[in-house]
Amino acid sequence: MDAEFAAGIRTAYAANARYAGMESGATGAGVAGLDAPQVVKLTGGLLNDYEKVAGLLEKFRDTRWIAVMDDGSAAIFMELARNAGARLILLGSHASFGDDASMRHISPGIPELRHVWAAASPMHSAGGILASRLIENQGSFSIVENFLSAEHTSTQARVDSAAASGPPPGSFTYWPGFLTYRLDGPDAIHLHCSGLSPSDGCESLGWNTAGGWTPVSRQVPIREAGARRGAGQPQSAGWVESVGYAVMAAALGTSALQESCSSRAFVHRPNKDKMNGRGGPTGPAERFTSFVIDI
Amino acid sequence: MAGNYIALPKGVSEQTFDAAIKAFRSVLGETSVLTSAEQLAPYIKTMMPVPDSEHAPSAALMATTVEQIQKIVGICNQYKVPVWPISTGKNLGYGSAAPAERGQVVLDLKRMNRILEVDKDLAYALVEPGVTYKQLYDHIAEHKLGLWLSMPAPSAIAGPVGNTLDRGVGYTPYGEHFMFACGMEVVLANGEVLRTGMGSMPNSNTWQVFKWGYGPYLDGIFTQSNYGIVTKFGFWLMPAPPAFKPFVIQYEHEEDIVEIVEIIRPLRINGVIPNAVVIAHALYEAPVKARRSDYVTGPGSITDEAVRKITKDHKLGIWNVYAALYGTQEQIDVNWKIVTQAFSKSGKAKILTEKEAADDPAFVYRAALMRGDMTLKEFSLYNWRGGGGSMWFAPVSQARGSETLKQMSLTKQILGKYGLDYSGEFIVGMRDMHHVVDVLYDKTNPKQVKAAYQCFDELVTTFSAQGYGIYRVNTAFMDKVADTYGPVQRNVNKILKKALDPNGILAPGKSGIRL
Repeated sequence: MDAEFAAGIRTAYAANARYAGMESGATGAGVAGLDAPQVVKLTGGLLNDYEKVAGLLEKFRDTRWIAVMDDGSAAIFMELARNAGARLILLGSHASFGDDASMRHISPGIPELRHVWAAASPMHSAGGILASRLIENQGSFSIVENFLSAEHTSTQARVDSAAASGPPPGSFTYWPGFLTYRLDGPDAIHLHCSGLSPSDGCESLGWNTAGGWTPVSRQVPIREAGARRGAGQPQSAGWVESVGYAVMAAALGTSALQESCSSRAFVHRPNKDKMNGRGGPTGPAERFTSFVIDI
Repeated sequence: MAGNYIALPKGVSEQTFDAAIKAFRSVLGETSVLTSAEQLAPYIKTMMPVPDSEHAPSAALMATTVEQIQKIVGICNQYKVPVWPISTGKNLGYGSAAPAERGQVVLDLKRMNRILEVDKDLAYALVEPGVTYKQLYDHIAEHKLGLWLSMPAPSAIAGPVGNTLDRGVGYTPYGEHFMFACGMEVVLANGEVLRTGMGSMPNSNTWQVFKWGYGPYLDGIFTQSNYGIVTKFGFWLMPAPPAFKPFVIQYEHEEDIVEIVEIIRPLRINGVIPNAVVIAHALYEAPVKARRSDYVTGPGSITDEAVRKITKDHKLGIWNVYAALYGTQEQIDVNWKIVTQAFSKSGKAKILTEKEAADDPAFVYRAALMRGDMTLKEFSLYNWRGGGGSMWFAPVSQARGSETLKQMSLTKQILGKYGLDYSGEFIVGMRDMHHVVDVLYDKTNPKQVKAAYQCFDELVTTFSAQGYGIYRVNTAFMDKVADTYGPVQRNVNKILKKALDPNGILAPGKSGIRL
C-alpha cells in the first residue's frame, strides 16, 4: 500500500509542481523550491516508533507533511501532530471491500470504495480529482468531503490565477460523468451522482434524504475527465495510487474548489451492463488514513 | 459556517465572540488564540458515530499560567462564552480533545507542563495538567528516583491529570488512579483559586501526603465534572519493587470467566495479587497479532468458530488473565505458590510466565503496562475493524463470576445484533470490575455508523435497566448516561453547577451537567 500511495504522490508532484510555488506557508520538504518530496518510512511502525515521529515533527518545522498509515497509527499521529502545534489541512479515511465479494452482495447500497475527508477549507479539496480518476475503473465508490471553513483563504486567488485550465472563481465546477445537485437550505452542500439518483446517493452516504436537491450542472462525458483533472497519472493506476495522487494534488493546492460549500460528495454506481466482469478494487480489503499537515 | 469562525458558541453572536477573542488575545497574545480552520482541525476528530461538526470548537486557547486562566474565566463570564478545558486531550474513544458541544472554546493546557515536585521518599508527584506520563517517566529515570508510574494504555502520550480527572485506570497496584490522587489546585468559575485538602492551609507541607484536610472532601467533585479547572494535581507513586513477576493465565471457554473471577477475587481482596488484573477476551488481544480480514468475510460479527481459530493460530486463550506479583523475591515466591495452587485446581488454566511468553507481543505489552512502562500497542485495536470508529462501553460489575458472565453475554448479544464484535476486558478492582468494551466500527461505512450508534444506545438502555451503571462515557452519550443515575443526582449536580458556575461557562454538558 505504501509503495502505491507513494507512486501517486510522485506522479502528482511531477504533474503539478508548477503550482507549488503559489502556496504560502508551505516551505519545507517536498514543496519549497519544488524539491521532490522526501519520503520517510517507519520500518517498525508508528506504534513502536512514535518517539521517532515526534522527533521528526519537532525537527522538520515549516514543512508540509503528507502521511499515510493504518488507522491505529493514525490515532496516535493525530495526537502527536496536535502536540506539535500542527495545522491540519486534510484528513482522509479510506476503505475498500477488496476481494470480499460477499460484502458487495450483502451490502449492495454501500460502495466498494469509500473515502471520507475532513478538509480545513475548499482550498485543499481532494475529492474531485480522485473522483475523476476512479470513475474510469468501473467499481462503485463514494467520496465525502467536509469543509470546516467554507471560505477560501487568501492564497486562493493566486492559485486560481495559476490554474488557468480551471473555470473562473465563482462559477460552478462540473465533473465529467457526474450530475451535480445542490441541497436547498442555508448550508451549501453539493452532491455529484453518477449512475444513481440523488436519493440513492444520499442513502449510500448515510445522508438524510429528506432535503430537496436541485440539479445545477449538465452531465459531461467521462472521456473529458482526463483533460479536466489529474492529467499526468497513468490510466492504469490502482485506487491507492489514485488516492496518493489526489492527496498530493490537494497538498499542492492545485485542486482547490471554485465554489464554496460546507460538504460535498461524489457517488458512483457503475452500470452493470458495462462492467463485463470488472469489479472495482481487487486485492485484500484495505483501510488506511491519510494526512496533510503543516508544522 | 459562521463568518470568521468555523463555529460559534450557542447563543453568542459573532460580534460578541469577536470581542471575546480580542480579550483572550490581550491575555494570551495573538499566537496562543487559535481560530483558523487549519489550527482547530486537530481538535475536532472524534471516533464517535456522530458528525464531527457537532463537536467543532469555535477557538482554542493555549494558556500557560494560573493567572491567565483566571483572566480567561473572567472573559468567559463577561461574554457568556463556554470553555472546554483539556489537559493533554487524549480521551480517545471518549470524545478525544473535541468539546461536548459545537462552538465551545477549547482551553488547551498542554503548555502547562511543569513537573513541580517529585518526592522520592514520600513517593508523590505534583504536576501541571499538560505533563505527560512519558515526561514524568523520563524525569524519574533521569533523576534515578526509583519510582513507578501507573498509566492507561495510551501511556506515553496521555497524562496523569486528564486520566485521573476522568477516573481512568492503569495496570499496576496503583491502577485505580483517583484512589491515589492527593491534592488539587482548582481555578473556579469566579476566578478564585482553591487548593483542596491540606493545600488550603498556608505553609502546609502535607498537601500531597494527606488527602482529607478538614471538612468535606472536595476533590471528588472536580472529577468527571465541570465545577473548576484543575491546574495542579498531586498523586502518589509506587516505589519500584525489588522484584516483579508478570504472568498470564489462559482459559479456553467464555464460561470460564466464572471460575477466573471467583479465584481472583479473594486473591485481590487479600492483597496476594496487588495490581489491577486484566481479564482480556481473545478479541481484545487478537489485533496485536492477527488481522480480522484473515478470519472474517462479509458483514456481521465474527463467529465463535473464527475466534477459536484465532486463539489456536496465535496462542491466545478465549480469556487471558494478565496479572503480576510485586515485592521481594521471597514475597513473590510465597504468593506465586498461592496463585498457582488456586488456578491449578480445576485443570482448566494454562499458566505462563515471562519464561514461556517473553516473545509473545500481547504478553510483552501487557507486562510493560503492569510495570508502568511506555507502550502504545493497544492502539492495534483500531486496526481490527479499521475505519476509525471506536467507543468505550464501560459498565461496572460486581467481582462475581456469575455477574461477569452475564454482562459479557449480554454485551456480546447486543453487539452481535448490530454486526459488531465483542472486544472486551474486565479490569479487576477488589470488589468491582470495570467491564471495558471497545465498540469498534468503520466510520467510512454509513450503515456501520448507524448500527454503532444504535448499538451503543441499546447497550446503555439495557444495562441501566438491569442496574448496571456506566462509569465513563463519550461526549455523545453523556446526557443519556447521566439520566440513568436518576433525577435526584442530576438535580444535585445542577444545584452545585449553579452555585459554583452561575453563568455555566465551564464545560457545559460534561457528564450531562449544565444549567
